[in-house]
Amino acid sequence: MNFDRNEEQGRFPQRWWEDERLKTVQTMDKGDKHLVPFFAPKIYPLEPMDKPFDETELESRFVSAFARILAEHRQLKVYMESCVKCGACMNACHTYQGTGELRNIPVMRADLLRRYYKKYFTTQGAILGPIVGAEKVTLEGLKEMYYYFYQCSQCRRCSYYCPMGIDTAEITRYGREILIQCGFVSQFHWSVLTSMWKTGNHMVITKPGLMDTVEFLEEELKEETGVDIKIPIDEWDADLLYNPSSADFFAYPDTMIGVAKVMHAAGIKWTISSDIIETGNFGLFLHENTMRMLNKRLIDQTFKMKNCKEVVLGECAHGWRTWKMMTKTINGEWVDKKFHYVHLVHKLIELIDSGIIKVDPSRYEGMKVTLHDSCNNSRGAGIIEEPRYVLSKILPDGVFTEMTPNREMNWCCGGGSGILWDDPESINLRVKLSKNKAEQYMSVDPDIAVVICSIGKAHNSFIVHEGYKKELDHVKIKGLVDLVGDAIVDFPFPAGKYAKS
Amino acid sequence: MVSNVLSYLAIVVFFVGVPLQVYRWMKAPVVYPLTDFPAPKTAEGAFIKVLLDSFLFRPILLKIYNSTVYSGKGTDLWIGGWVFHVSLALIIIGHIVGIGTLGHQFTILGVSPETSLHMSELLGTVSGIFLSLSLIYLLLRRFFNPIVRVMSDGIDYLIVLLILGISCMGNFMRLNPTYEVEYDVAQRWIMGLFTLHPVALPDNPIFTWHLFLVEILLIYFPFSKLMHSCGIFFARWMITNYDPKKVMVFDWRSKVCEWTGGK
Ligand code: HEM
Ligand code: SF4
Ligand code: SF4
Repeated sequence: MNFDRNEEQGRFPQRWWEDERLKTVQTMDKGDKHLVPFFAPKIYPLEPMDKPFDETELESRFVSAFARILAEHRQLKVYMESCVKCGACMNACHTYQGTGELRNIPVMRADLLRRYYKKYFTTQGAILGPIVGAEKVTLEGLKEMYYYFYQCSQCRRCSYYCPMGIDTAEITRYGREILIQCGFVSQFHWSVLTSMWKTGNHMVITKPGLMDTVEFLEEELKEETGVDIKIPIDEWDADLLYNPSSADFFAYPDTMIGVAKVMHAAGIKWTISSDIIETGNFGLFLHENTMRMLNKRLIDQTFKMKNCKEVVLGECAHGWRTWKMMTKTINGEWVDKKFHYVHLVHKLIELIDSGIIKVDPSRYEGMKVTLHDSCNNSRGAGIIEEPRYVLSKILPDGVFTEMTPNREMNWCCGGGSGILWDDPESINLRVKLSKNKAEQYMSVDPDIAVVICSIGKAHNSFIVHEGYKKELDHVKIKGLVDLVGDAIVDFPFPAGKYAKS
Repeated sequence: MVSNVLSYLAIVVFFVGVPLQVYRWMKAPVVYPLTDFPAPKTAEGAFIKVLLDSFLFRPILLKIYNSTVYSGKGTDLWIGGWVFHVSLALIIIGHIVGIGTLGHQFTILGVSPETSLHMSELLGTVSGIFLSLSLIYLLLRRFFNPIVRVMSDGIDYLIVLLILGISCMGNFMRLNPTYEVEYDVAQRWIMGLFTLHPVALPDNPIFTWHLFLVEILLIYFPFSKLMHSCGIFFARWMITNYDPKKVMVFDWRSKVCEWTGGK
């Protein structure tokens, strides 16, 4: 059972997503309601269980999964045992503020797991039972846990309020992992992981598809700037490897275009590896072993580069958090010996500060720009002042407006941890989950909201163009590099795309 | 003698149980850094911040760290909780020092033994009263705040009630001369306990109950949420510590992190 420590199985086959074993997964893509429990016995190895789910097994499955995770994670043990039920986290969570459901208060959410912890792993729970809030595992209980654990966007805002420093995001992460072994996983997350296994990115982009898109983007660039700007794919002797988020090719092409402009203007010999057009790592949200492997895969692929000195990670917040905070501890100290791994924002600062690319703030005269700090960037990986610094360089005075609260205390948009379900019921839920962010937008009323995060772009676009369309439809959601790209004056191109005129 | 057996049991359970629980935590690894940013850059800074956060409690500190952005409503809890813990700490220290030196601890400040005894008694009385009041406040808050009420289990009330019972009996003995227990009587009893020659308890029902409840508390301590007194340091350390060796970080651009033009 203990597959997480198994070195051999943790290795990837050369092109691991073509593994025969994984093909069976397609048969599991059924049902379209994402928040309805989806049947998937385990994520790794990625194959469906051959016999149907048996309810009598539930307890033993649950307890063994829980025990394994507890043995390997100090944080979970400490968090399970030291909450004092003080209620300080009451006002911390946007899901509670949005939905008004008591179970969405961080402590109540964590209690869904803690009640089982008390029952199976503590003396007091075994003896005193319901007085201390211990309960036996039931299918109903697990469904409830599933429902509320998947509403947590793992934004970690509650950990700033809790006097103990309890990070409910950790609890939901491992809670989801336990749920997976009991047969519950959100279909959306599952399908993202399967497409990750199959194609190496979240959007099921194959190499021919990628080439088509890139061609299309290059035409766009030519049309817009009048200059031949290339988006080089798989040029193995390049100096800089850019690791984009796959959504940049289809959903937010402006980001890809922005990157191409910046690299072109800076005269950098860069490339994208078609094997890793995905920084994101959904394993972070629900399955640690998957996270390790996806991370390992990125490392393996970057090491194929010959001349490359620097790897620039694209605008993906949870991807950057996994890269920065976790790579060294889960996949080895040696990782950053060969390359510099930097975030795109760092690269932008370097280029702007050293005067390699010249920007013209006047393009944004008279607009109102605001910045949404994505949780994994600001709270999770410390990119807090950097984007503000870049914005101060590319925007004229008085254009940039802060939302309150901001920086590490910002409200999560509600889409964190990949909560992007798109069936009707879940959409209602998502509208509620993003209430706080929408209110922030309404109070600032920006023209452009900068979001340095792929999931964030998806969800914030949902907020402004669907969820709160009436009030916010005029807001444009942009990546940081989009704005930089449009402010570049080095090569002639027509007025910035979002100039108000 | 029942009270003696229970006393030994309580001492053993407490002093073995708590380290065992902590050892159980230590055994499990922390797989990757869980830092909450902005984090102190050095381990010493993190250490100081953990201590500040733990002993002053987080909500008020947030106001100091980040007065412009924090708009939480945590102060109602903070005042009650903080007064409770400070007076509890004073009382625990007072019991140890006061009984150990027979109330002469303040002689090191240069006052006479008499004054020292009075000071000790005064401090004990005042913090005892604060302890009871703050516990009553926490109890009422738990009961009347609708949200805190739903999140509480029976045991959360029981613990507060238990400590309230202990502190009320303590106050009662202090304020009611007929039930007063002198320092030397208590000292003799404790010395008896520790030298394995138990002496009889003073003939004082309130004192017996006080002691009984304390023993219950000590026995329950390692199994309960009261382990937060150790867990807080673990949990806080995990989210405060930032070890540049463990993360991929390129601080050659760190001047930007100090840039505050946006504030
Ligand atoms: C280093 C020692 C300790 C620290 C840092 C600490 C910290 C805290 C904090 C931050 C809270 C949050 C809730 C509030 O503000 O009321 C709390 C609650 C609590 N603590 Fe402690 N504590 C410590 C030791 C103890 C001890 C020794 C006891 C009891 C014997 C205790 C009993 C409680 C109780 C009962 C609560 C819940 C209060 C309520 O019902 O709202 N604590 N503690
Ligand atoms: S991590 Fe975020 S969404 Fe989850 S409980 Fe905490 S505040 Fe709520
Ligand atoms: S703030 Fe922390 S200790 Fe208090 S109830 Fe919430 S999770 Fe528990």
